[in-house]
Formats: sequence, C-alpha cells, structure tokens
Amino acid sequence: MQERVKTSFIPKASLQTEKRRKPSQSPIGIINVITSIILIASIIAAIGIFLFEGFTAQNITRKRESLERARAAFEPATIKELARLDARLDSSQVLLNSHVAPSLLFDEIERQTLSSVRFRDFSLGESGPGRLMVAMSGEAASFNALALQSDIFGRSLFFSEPIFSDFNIDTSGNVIFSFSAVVNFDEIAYRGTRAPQNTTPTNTGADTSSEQNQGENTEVTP
Amino acid sequence: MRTLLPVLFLLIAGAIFFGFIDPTYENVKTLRAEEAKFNDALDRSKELQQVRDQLLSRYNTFSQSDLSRLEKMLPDNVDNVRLVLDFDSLASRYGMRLRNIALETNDTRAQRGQVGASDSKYQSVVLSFAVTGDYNAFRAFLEDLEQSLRLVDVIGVSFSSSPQGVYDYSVSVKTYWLKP
Repeated sequence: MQERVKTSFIPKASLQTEKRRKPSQSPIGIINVITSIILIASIIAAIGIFLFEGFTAQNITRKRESLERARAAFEPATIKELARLDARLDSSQVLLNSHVAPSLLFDEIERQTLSSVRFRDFSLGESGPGRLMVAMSGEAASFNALALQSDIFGRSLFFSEPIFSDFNIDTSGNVIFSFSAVVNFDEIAYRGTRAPQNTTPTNTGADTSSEQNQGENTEVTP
Repeated sequence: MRTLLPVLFLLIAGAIFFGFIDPTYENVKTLRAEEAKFNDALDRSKELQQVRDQLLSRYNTFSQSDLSRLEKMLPDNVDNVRLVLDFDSLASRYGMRLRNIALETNDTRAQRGQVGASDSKYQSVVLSFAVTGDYNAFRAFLEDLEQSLRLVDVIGVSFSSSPQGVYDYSVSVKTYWLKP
C-alpha cells in the first residue's frame, strides 16, 4: 500500500536564524592603504624634487648670465687702469713721505762749522734701511775749537750720536780728527720748498762765537 | 598576493626615496648654495658698479698732464738708460759729466742683505755715478736731483779735498718704479 504523503506547513525543523556577519577588519587591508599612501607620497615627492631641481638649475644659469653681463659692464681694462693709478698714488705718497734732501744737511754743516775748523772729506751713506750716516775727517786750529765744534754739532737737531774721534796733531800743530753721526731723518726730509736758512748757530760759547762761519760763502771745505 | 602588495609598495617607495629623492635633494642643496653665492655676487656687483662709477668720475677729474707727470714720477719700469741720460743732461747744466755709472738692483742688494723681502707696490734700484766739479755746481746739481720729477733719493755722497777746488764726487741715488 502506497503511503500517503503527508503534507504539512509546519516545518519539521526549526528555522535557522541567519546571523549577519560583520565584515572582518583585516590588518592586511589597513597596511595596504598605508603603504599605498607612502608610495604615492614618494612618487609625488620625487616629481616635486625633480621639478625643483630643474627650476634651481635654470635660476643659476640665468644668474650666471646676469653676472657675466655685469662683469662685462665693469670694463676690466678700466678697472685695471684705476687700480694702477691707485697703486701709483699710494706708492708716490709713501715715497714722497720718505723723500730726503741731503742738501739740507750741507746747509746745516755750512752753518754750524766754525771758521777755525775745516773738513777734508765727506761721506754720506746708508748704514741700514732708512738710516743715513755721515762721516767726515778734518782739522781744527786747536783743541778748544774742536771742543766748541763738538758742542755745536752735539746740539744740532740734524745729528744723533755724534762722535769725534781719531785725534792727532799734524806738523802744523792743527788737531786732526774724524767725525761721524747718524743723520736725523726728519731734518733732511724733503719739504717741497727749501726752508729759510738760519745763519746763526744754535748755541755757541761766549768766547768763541766769533769763530763761527757767517753768511753764504761758508761751505763744507774739503 | 594580498599580503605581498604592501611589502612591494614599501620596497618601491624605499627605492624611490633612496635611489632618487635623497641624492637629488643633496644635489638641490648644493645648487641652492651655489644660487645663494650668485645672489650675493649679484648684490655685490651692483654695489661695485656704484663704486666704479664714483671712481671713474673722480678719475676723469685728473688732467691728462697730471696723469703723465705722475707716471713720470713713478714709472712702470726702471728705464735706466733714460734716467742716466736725464741725470747727465742735468749735470751738464753745471759743466759736469756723469762717469763710472753703475746700477745695483734690489736683487743684488738683497743678496748682500741690504734689503729684505718687501710687499710694497714699487721696486727700487740704486744708481751710482761720479761727477767732477766745484762745490757750488755740485750743490746746485744735488738740489736739482732732489727736486727732480722722477723721484730719486740721494742716499750716498762722498768727496775729498783737492787743492784746485774741483772735487770728484761719488753719488748714489735710489730711484723707484711701480711693480707690474
């Protein structure tokens, strides 16, 4: 006998409720996003720095050209000429400041030499850089005259370290001597125009002042 | 595959950074420093331009004759032949002639220890010569030398007595020229 099929609307098994499953937050996805951002940022930075490099290089080229134009505008030949003139002016000033006029020394010797004293030879020379030394030998009528001459030269502003030496008496009874001194540079410095000559000796002894050479006819008498 | 992707991204990003961005940045820093120098040079060139204009206007106030006198005072070279000629012509005014002319350069003086190394803009030479004449003529000649436009310093004079009143003078003068 055929079994009857029993129909029923009542489910035999209880209905299973479908739980909605939340999508799982996978860490792989987050890392993907972060690394993608890093990659994109790197690409953007690379493009940016590439462009900036090109821009800077262009700027430098432009400025180099401007500088070349400015250099050309300076006219190097003119600058050289100006620099040469500057050097010439500076050097001339230095040389003029140290320019000497030994004729002033001759004037002084002429003024300060006693008539009872005469010089046989004269020598002026450099004893060192910027240092002039005068040396003379001569004869005096007496030791007194020589002493007075020594006193006068000792007071002269033209001489420093004046030394009288090598005294001797010649056959005529005159006193032979040598004289040397360092010439005071300031006194023989060139002043452009010659200073008026003072014919009066700076100081003489009372009893021998008449022995002074006076006037223009006095000279260093070799 | 999904797990490899971030690693790949990071590797590419690292390669971009270390392979391109970092060296390019270093290069940019160098370029920026160079650019700063150019900026500075351009600023200074503008200042120099102003100074040059000022100097040029001052230079133009010098007369040509003053410039040539200045050049004669301190020439560009020693020109010793011209110097001797000038001195001889000067001496001849007083009836004297130059003799025994000798030239001593700075080098020979330095060898003798008379001059040391100098950083000055000019050089000097010592010219020695002899003249014969009476005292007054020599004094006048000496004063002319002192006042000569060509700058000369008399650094040595020597003479001895003679009964005739005409003496032999040995003279040393130092003259100068501008170094090139």
